[in-house]
Amino acid sequence: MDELTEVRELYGRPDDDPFAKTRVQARMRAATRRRLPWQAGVAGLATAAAVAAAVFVPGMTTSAPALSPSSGNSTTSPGNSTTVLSGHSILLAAATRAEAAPEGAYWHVKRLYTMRWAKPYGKEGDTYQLETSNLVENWISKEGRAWSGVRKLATRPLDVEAWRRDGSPAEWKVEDGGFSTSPGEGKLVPHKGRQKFPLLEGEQLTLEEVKALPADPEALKNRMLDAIRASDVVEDAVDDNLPRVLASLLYELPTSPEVRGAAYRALAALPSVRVEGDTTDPRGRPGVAVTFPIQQGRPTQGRLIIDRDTSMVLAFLVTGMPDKGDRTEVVLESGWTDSEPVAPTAE
Amino acid sequence: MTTTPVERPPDQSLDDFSAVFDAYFSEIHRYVVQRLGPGPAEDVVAEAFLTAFRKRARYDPAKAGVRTWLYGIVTNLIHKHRRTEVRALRAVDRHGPPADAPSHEERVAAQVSAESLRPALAEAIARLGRGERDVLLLTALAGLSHEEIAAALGISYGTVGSRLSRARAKIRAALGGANPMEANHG
Repeated sequence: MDELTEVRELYGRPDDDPFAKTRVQARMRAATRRRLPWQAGVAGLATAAAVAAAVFVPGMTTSAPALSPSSGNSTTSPGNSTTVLSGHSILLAAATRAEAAPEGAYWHVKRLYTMRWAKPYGKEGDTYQLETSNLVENWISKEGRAWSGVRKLATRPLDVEAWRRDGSPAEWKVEDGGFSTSPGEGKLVPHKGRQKFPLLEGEQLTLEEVKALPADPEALKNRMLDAIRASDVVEDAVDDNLPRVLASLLYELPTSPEVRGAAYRALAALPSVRVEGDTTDPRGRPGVAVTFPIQQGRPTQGRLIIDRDTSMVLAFLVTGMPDKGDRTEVVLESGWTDSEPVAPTAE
Repeated sequence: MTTTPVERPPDQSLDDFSAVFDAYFSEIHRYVVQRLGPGPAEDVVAEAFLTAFRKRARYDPAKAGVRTWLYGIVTNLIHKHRRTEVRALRAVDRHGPPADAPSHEERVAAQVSAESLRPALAEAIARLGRGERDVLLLTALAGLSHEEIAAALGISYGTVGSRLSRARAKIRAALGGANPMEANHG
């Protein structure tokens, strides 16, 4: 073996850190007062230069070891040009979001929840599973006025043949209401009084408290552990809730880029969190899958799909819930907006 | 989805600097991670692209491709972190962080770089002169040719050759008889 090969083997090939690029961009933005200098020169993008004003903290120094793909399927090569090809459209979309982001009147999150129920429907021998979907939107103004918008979408039998043999029923009764093959109407419900941002089911935060969340990963982690304990989670399960609540900081709450960066770093430092590499979300959007167990000793697993370029959460999937089925939460929108709350119509 | 990096015409590349960043980020970043570890790499890579943007008017496409030019810029910036690089190389034969590493950043750098390194070879690389190490690693890790290294570092073709020969000879010596290819030279 010659010396150059020895040298190459000595250095090895570092694992691809899917968030390094975004972090470096954040550093450059920090060094240039939040604008990448060359973006002023990109046609039409001059004012939107705070591209993906997203996520990472200037001053972050360490890497994310647990967030490196552990298997050998890292695909970065000297010309990993997926970013070259898709970079621009993603950049544009992200820039638009970032431009609209800081100044809106309402914090708005629009999500599509899909549930594949474990329970079989139909008659004996002709059973099938159902997939139900709900469009859910939440708005909260800076003063704490809040609205929820909900629309039930059409329920879908997963095995159409079995459903036909069952007589093609259009409705199914379940404990809390029913499922229907027809979509429901969109409803907009205003909330009474001043609302806050919920962390899990427990603690409620004001916008000021959200803004005051620590930007240091360890401090943020400890703050979230307190929040988990405040929501009556049994002590044994506190750690298992940590990835989920950290993930919520990435898209459910109007956190600062610094806090989002800290949330990513805190996630990266958790031994149970794994990056599984490139994938697509349920709507076909490309992203990186990050997985973690949700309940110790049970097969329940959480799977975040994160946009490599903007670091936004695209979807959160939960699999392996005993006797329940698989749940998918697709994030359609997350950010500040000036659009008035309206009942959900379409995805 | 093609994954071939194409060296675009330089004038076009520098006009659209975000495309330059997208095209070369992964490669440049990996090279710096290899030399300095992931923590310092982020600072160095950010500085390299900002420097490249600032100096774009001085870029001469007749002398070097954009990729080569970026390696030249980043190599200069790596020099500021020589202590980190040498510390990481010397940490190879220790298990755990070097005792005198004060900062978390350097500890992480040392640990990560050390994972796959072997001590004798690492020590030999740590002992190389700065110029020799640059030429060796631009050759072995970045895969640049002699011409490209000459353009990147602003040195002559002949100097690239002599530095690489010296670096290889020192490594050969450090590895002693461990190299089977050299066994019959006694």
